Amino acid sequence: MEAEGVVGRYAIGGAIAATFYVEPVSTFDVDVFFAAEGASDALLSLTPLYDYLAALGYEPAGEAVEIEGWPVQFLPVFTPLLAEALTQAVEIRFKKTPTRVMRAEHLVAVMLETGRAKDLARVIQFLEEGAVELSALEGVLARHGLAERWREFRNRFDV
Amino acid sequence: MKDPIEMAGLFEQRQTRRRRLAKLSFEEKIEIVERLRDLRLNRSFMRTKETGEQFDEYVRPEEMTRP
Repeated sequence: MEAEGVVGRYAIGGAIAATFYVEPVSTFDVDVFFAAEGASDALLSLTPLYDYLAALGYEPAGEAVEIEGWPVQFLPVFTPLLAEALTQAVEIRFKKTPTRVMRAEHLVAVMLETGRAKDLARVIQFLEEGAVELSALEGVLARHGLAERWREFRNRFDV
Repeated sequence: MKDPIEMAGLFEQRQTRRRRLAKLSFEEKIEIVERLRDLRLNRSFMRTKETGEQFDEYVRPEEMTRP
């Protein structure tokens, strides 16, 4: 899709990306973040994407598109944190298919920003398993106004 | 009160399992995620069958929370 210009740069985020770095995370869908270049309206930017996928036989199901047994959510990126996460995402291979996942430091920053209980628990997992480089993480957090939240998190959970 | 030594042992076992799982390949991990997903969907399917509702295809996550 990226090569054919249907979406801008994309990267996998969320629980599936987290699974790349830590133990498997139970989830029901795949979050794919993509650059909404030049778009001012997320709905408009999704139309060609949905049309493209429908032509391949992948139909929308709720907020996702059912692709090979997985509900895939396509999420346009509008915040500076996610835009940076997209730019710096790492190339990986799943089986023989090349794809991209967000870096661990960006995933942690997003989880910290979102702040649900399951996100915070997952941040602890990343830290315990040594999946993040702390200096890189602190750089991301400082750039995106999350340094104070990080300080509170560390105090609260003694990490 | 549970035996704290036994509990500490369980905690250590859990940490060891988590570290082992984290070291699996991405493909192996995704296979586990798929199995977890299917197990949960199957459980939901069985539950809905018990309540008399008819589902003959994919049970979506939002349906799992239905009583």
